Amino acid sequence: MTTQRGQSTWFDAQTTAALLAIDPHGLGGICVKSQFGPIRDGWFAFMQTQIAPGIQFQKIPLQIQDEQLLGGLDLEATLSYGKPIYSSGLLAKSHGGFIVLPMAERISPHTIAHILQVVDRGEVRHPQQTAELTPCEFGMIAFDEGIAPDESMHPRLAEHMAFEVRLDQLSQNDCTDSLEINPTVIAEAKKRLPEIECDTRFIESLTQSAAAFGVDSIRAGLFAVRAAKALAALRNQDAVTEDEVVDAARLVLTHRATRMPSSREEQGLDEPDAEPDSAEDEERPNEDQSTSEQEQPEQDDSNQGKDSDTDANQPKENMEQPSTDDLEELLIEAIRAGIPPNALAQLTAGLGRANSKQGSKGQFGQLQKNANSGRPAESWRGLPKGGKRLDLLKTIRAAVPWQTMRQAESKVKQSAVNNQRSRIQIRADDLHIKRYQQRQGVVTIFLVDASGSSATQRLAEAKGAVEQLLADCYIRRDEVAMIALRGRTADVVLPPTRSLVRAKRNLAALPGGGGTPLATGFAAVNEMALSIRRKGMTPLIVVMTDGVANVTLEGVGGRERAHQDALQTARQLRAAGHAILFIDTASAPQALAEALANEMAAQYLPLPYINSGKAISQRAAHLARQ
Amino acid sequence: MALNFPFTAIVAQDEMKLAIALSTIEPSIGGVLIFGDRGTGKSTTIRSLAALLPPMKVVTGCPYHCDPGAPTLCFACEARKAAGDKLKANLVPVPVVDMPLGATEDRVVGALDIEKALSQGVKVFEPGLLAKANRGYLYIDEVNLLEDHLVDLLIDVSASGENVVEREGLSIRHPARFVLIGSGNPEEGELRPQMLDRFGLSVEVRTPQDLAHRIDIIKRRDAFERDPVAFLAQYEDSENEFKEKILSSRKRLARVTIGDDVLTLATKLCAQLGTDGLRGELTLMRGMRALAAFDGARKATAEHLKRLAPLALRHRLRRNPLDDSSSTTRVERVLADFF
Repeated sequence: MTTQRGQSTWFDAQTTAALLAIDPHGLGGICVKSQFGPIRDGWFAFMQTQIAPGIQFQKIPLQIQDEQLLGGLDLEATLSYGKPIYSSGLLAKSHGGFIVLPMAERISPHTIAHILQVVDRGEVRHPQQTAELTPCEFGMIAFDEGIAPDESMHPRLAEHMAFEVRLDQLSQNDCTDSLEINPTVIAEAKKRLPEIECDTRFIESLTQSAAAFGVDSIRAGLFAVRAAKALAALRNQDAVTEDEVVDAARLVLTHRATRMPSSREEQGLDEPDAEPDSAEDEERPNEDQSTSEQEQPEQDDSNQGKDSDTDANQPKENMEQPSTDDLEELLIEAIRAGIPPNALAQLTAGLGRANSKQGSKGQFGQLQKNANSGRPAESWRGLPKGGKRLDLLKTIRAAVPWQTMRQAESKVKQSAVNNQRSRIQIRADDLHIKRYQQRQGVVTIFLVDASGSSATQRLAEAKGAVEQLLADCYIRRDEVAMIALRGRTADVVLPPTRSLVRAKRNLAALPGGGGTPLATGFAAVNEMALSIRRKGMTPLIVVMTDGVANVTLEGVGGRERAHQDALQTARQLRAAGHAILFIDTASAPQALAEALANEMAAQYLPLPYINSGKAISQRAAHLARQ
Repeated sequence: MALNFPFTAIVAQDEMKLAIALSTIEPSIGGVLIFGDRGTGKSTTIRSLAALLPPMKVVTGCPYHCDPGAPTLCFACEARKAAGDKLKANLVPVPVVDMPLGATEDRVVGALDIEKALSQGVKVFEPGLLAKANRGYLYIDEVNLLEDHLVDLLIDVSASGENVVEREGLSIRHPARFVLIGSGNPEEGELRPQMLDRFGLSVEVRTPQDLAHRIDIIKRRDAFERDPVAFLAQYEDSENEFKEKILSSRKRLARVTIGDDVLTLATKLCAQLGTDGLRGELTLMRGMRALAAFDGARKATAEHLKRLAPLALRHRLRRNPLDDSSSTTRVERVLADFF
C-alpha cells in the first residue's frame, strides 16, 4: 500500500470517528477491522481525546450476561441488603455515549440480538422490568480482529454500522498526521446537524450509486444520506454539497459493494482455457502494486493532499455544479477507487464481500443438547441426567432468593429436612445444567477443479452432489461448502452453509475454465477444514480433479513445478488427518491423480465407477460416518 | 414512546402489506412469515402495524388482557371476581410484542417473581412475553435462528392457545393466543417444517428493484427522521382511511361466501402441489374470505384464490431436490395450469 493511499485511509478512519460522534445513533457505528496494535490504539486514542473527551466509552465484555447488558435485579446487592436492588444494564448506562465491542467477530448472536433490539428502538426497558422504556441511544465501535475470511463480525451487526475502517495495511508512517478536529468543532456540528439540508438530487444520486454497486439494503442508503449531512455539519455548512456526497458514498458504500457497476468491462476474468505461462500480462492481486486512486478527504485545513497521480475526478471547491450524470460518474469512481484491488477479482466474479461476509454459520449454529465439550454457553434449567453436568454456581444463584420462603415452608411442613439455617435448600427447579457450544455434524467441503474441457460436466456433478447432501440436511444437520479452482486462484464459491437457497444461488453463478492451481486449492481446503474443526464440527473433503496441475503455489504456469507443489500440499492434508474422498474425474484413471490421493491418504475413486451427484453424496455420507 | 413510521407511507412491498392487512382482518389465518434480506423494511412494517389496530377492551389491571365479554376469564380475574372485586374494563392498544432472538425461556413463558420472593417471601408468578402478547401480536425477528427449545415451546403454545407453567409448586395456566409474525433471512438457516406450518401466510421481500421506489423510500425516511410529528400529520388521513378499511372489512368478513366451485379448485390446487395436511386448505379458505372482504366483495372468487395461493402455500411445499425453482415459481406454474 502506498503511503498516499495509506494516509487517506487514515484520514478516512479519523473522519468516520468524527461523524459517529456527531450522529451516533443515526450512523450506528464503526467496525474497525484490525489486529490489536499501536495503530488501532492510536485511532481509538484520537477518538477518545480529540473527538469525544469526557464522553463514555462503555466496553461490553464478550461473555456478558443478559442482566448486565439490559439491567435487572442485582442479585448480589439484593442478597447483601436484604431488599430488592435493581441496576441498569451497560446499554442503559451508555446512553449518550458509545459502546465498545472488543473481539467483535466472536460476539454471540444472542448478545447481538439484544444490542440490536435496543439500537433499533432507541429505548431500553426499565431495569425493574416494568413496561416503561427509557431512551437509550449510543454509537457502536466494534473491533473486529478476525483473520480468516469466515471469521469476520456477524453481518447482522455490520448491517447496523455505517462505517468500516481497515487499519491492518497501514504503516506507522501513514498515521503520523491527524485531522484538526477538536471537541468544540464536534459540539458545534452536533448543534447544526438537525438544520442541515440535503437536496433530493443528492439523495437520488446516492441511492443510484448504491444500486449500481449491488448494495440492496435501504439502511445503507440512509446511512449515506446521514453521513453526508454529518459531514456538512462538520465542515461548517448549512447544506450538503457535492463534496459531502462523494465522501459519504466512499465512506458508507465502498465496503458494502457486492458487484461492480455493469457498464464497465469485466476485468481480466475471462481466462483462456490454457496454461498461463507467466503472470506478467495480468496484475496479480497484490496490495503493494496498487496505485492510489483514492481521493484525499477534503478536510479544510488538514488536507495533506498531494497531487493524485491518477485521473480520479477530484471535486474542487470552486467547480461548477456538474449535472446529475456527472455526479453519478464521480460517485462511482469514488467508490470504485476505495475497493481494494484484490477484492475486484472476487467482486466481478459475482462473489462480493457480501458473501464472504456472511461468515460461516459456525458461530451461529445450533447448540447440541448433549454436548459436554466446546465453548461454554448459557446454562439452562434442567436435570443433570444423561451425562449432563450440573452448573453449581448457577444452581446456587437460582436457589438463594427462595431460601427464606423455603425455610418457612419446611418449618410448617415439619419436614424431615435438617432445619439448620446454614443449609441451603435446593429444589429441582433450581438445577441448571452446563451447556457447551458444540456444532453438530459434518461439513463436506468440495474442492472442484473447474478447468479444462470437462469443466461443465464436473461442475454439474459437484453441484448435484452438493444439493443432494443439502436436501436432507434437516435430519443430519450437515453443512456443505465449495472451493473452485479457477485460473490461478482457489475461490470459496460457497462458504459452509446449510441453506439450500444460498447454495443454489452461489453455484448457479459458477463459471468454468482456466488453469489448475491444485496446490493452492489443497492449501485452501486445508485451511477451511482446520477452521471447521476449531468450531467443533467434522470436516470431510471431497476432491474432484483429474490431478493434472498446471499452476504453482505462486500462481505461475508450469506443470512440473505445479505437480511438486500439489504433492507437497497433499502431504499437509495427510498430516492434518482429514477424511478425504478423491474423485478422479479423468475419463480413464490417471496415475497422477492416484499418486496425489495416496499422498493425502484419501479414498481414491475413479469417475467411471462413480458417476453421479447422488453416488458422490452417498459415498461422502458413508465416509463421514466412519 | 418512540414514534413509528406510518404503515401507509411504506413504499411498494405490496405483498407484505397485504399479508399483514389480512392477518388483522382475520387473525385465525395464523400469522405471517416474512423472508428477506436485511434492510428491506421488515421491522419497520411490523412496527407500523400497531397504529393500524383498533384498541381492544380489556379487564383493567389484568396482565393477560382478558376480554371482559369473554365467557371465561383467566385465573387472576376469576380469583378477583371470587374475592368480590368489581372488574372494570378499559380500552388499550393491541399489543405488538417484540421477542428478541436472545430471550431466555423465563422471559418468554414467565417465571416466579424473585423480587416478591425476596422482599415479601411470597410466590407470585411474573408473566412473560407470551402473556404480554395475548390477544395481540408476537413478533420474532430472525425466527430461523431461534433456539430449538424455544421453537418447540412456540409450536406448542400456538397450537393450544395457552401457556402452562409448572414451577416451585406453582401451577399456572394462562391464555396465550396471538398472531405470530416471524421474519428471517433463509440464507442464514432454514426453519423447521413444523414451525413453517404454524404460519398462515408467507411473503418474500426484496429491496424494490425500481430505482424510483428506492429513492422514494429514502426520501420519506429522511423526512420522517427530520420531523416525525409533521410527517405523521401528513399521513394521518391515509392512516385513518386504512384503519377504517380494516374495520369495515372485519365487519364484512362474516357475510363473505365462497362458492363450491372455488373450494373444489382450492382443494385441487393443494393436491396438485402436494402440500401436507389440511392446514394449507384451511388457510386458503380463511385467507380468500379475508381478501374478498378487503376488496369489498361479497363473494370469494377464483381470482381471489389465484392472488392468495402463493402467500398461503409457498412455504408448505415439500422440498424437491430435483426441482431447482423456488417455491413461488412452483406455485405459479401450477396456477398457470389451473387458470
